[in-house]
Amino acid sequence: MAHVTINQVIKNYGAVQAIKGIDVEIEDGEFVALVGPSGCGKTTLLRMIAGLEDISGGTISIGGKVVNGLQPKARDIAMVFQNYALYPHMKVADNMSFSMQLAGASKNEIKTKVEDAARILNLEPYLERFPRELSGGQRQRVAMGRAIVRNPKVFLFDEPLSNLDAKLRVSMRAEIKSLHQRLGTTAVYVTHDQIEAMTMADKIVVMSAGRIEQVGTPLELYDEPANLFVAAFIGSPSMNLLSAEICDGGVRFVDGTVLQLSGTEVFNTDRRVIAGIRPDAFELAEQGLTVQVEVTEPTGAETQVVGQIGDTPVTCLMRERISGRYGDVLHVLPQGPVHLFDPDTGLRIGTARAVLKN
Amino acid sequence: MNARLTPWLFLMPAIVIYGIFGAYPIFQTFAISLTDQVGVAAPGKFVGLQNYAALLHDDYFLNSLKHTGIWVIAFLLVPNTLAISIALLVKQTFWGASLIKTVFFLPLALSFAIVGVIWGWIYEPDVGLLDQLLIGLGLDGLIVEWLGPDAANYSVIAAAAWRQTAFATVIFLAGLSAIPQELLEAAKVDGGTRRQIFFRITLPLLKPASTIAVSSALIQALLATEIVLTMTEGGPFGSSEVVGYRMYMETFWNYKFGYGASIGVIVTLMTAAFVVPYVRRMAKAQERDWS
Ligand SMILES: Nc1ncnc2c1ncn2[C@@H]1O[C@H](COP(=O)(O)OP(=O)(O)OP(=O)(O)O)[C@@H](O)[C@H]1O
Ligand SMILES: [Mg+2]
Repeated sequence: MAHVTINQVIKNYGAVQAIKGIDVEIEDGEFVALVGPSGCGKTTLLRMIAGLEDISGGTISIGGKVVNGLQPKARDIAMVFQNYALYPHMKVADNMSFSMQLAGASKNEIKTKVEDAARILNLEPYLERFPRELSGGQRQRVAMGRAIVRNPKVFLFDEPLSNLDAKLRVSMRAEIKSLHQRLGTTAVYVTHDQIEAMTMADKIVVMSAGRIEQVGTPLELYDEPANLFVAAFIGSPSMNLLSAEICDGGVRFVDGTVLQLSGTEVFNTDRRVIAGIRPDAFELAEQGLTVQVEVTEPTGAETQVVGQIGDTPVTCLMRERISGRYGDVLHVLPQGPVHLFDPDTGLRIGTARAVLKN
Repeated sequence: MNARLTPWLFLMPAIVIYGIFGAYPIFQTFAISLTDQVGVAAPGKFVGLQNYAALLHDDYFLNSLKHTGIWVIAFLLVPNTLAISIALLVKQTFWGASLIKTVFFLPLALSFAIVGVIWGWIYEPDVGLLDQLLIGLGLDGLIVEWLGPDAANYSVIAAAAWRQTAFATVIFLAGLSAIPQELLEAAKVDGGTRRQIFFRITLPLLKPASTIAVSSALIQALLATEIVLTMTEGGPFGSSEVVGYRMYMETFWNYKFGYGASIGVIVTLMTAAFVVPYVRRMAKAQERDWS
């Protein structure tokens, strides 16, 4: 177990800067998710921690020791690869114990460790099989077993669930999380799936284009997104972003609708803002924002309404069962928080709440 | 259509072609080897296994068998180890890798007969490239009569090994690029040294490539003939004769078709005895690792 410090880390691929100076502090035993859109540098950062990629600038330390110059094997980390990277010519037991064999561990020690890991991961019946004789989920577990057996200071995961079907992904998600809680080993987990990050991580690092957008607990990111990028990235369906301007006692939307808000007094009137409203914050109202319905998608528990407010596409999650059709009109008002962003910088400048009438 | 017949129908073209160009000539050779046929004009009379019995006491044949043995051992070891090393090296140097690949591919465009001619010049006493090179390096002491009675067999093998190395390099390069990079990285993270990773990951996963390289080396060594013909004609004093060359001489020089055929049958049996079990074993491993 160890804490990991990433300090001003840079990665250059020739003239391209893939990582543009990143600082992250990962506490001992913490489960940290790196999320961000494709190409933002998640894998690159993870591979730099693993020692599979040179560090162009800055330092990475594990357990207080700078590891920049160390080979992967000297860093005491274990990595679970996206395609599992199981050794095809070795049985499951050998796959799991390969690192111990290399380190010259005794037969008994290897046997005990492998059996322990197999028990934790329900792999006992498969120890004598070759990887090709396993299902995707079982292979995934072997890859985790290989990591566990080593008892490393840090686990590194690179999108380990992306090759599994949706159902298996959900159950493996829970499995990895409970495994982490049991072992308490520091873990860095790369994913582009924000739900995975939200459900598993103690702390999420949102990245985009080689930079960090925000670091925080899942709920911090959800409740207090630092900017438009995080606001749109975290939460599913995405936050609705509507142009508006500050007016006396609230905001006025482009279509002229005025929304009474508390918390906007500090801003100058007429200041342009982008109002961010989560889909589930909307409720039906007598009058309010006018939604031109495109489709309604009932899921049973709630109804997802996809439509437009003015020219802006919006999604609303309603607890009511609504059977709107294309061209219907609904009136909605936000009951939850309304995040206000500066349209130029994209930064969140405040969060207001609707003033409840009646 | 009959479900049991269908697979055979699909196999039919291959079976027919194999029958005409593979099985029939082998059978025919075996049939001739049981006769005392001379030349092609008339079939000989049946003599049973007499030709084979005679081979056991034929000093020319036994001498050539010994040389072929040296070919097999040298061909298994030298071109394949060289080729793996070169392939690993080329794989690591990204600059001009394709140029290097082309250079190593070139000898493959030459038949063994041509390779023999070229290396004949290289081995030429005094004026040949090899002697010139050694003289230039001040290593005149190392010069021997390359195609003389003591060295001829080895010199011919070296020339053939040059081409075989080129072939094996191309095969191993392809084999290396079929190994997923992730596996090697996983082994690195697992704490493997370069050496450990090579012997425990890379080499076992090169099985498909080694199957081709090793069986090709075996076959080429056992069948070697043209290069001997163009470089030394088996000489001097039979010092570079190999079984393929003996077969050729007995058949087309002495016109002893029956006798030559019996050598042919023995070469075929040796090839089958070496290559078939090897390929079978490797095919099994391959099916395990690459599916
Ligand atoms: N070997 C390389 N040479 C040059 N550029 C590279 C190399 N590897 C990655 N990059 C670039 O670095 C950036 C970050 O890549 P990285 O693989 O870290 O993205 P990612 O966040 O993991 O994306 P994904 O979700 O698609 O896996 C990308 O723009 C990519 O094109
Ligand atoms: Mg990636």
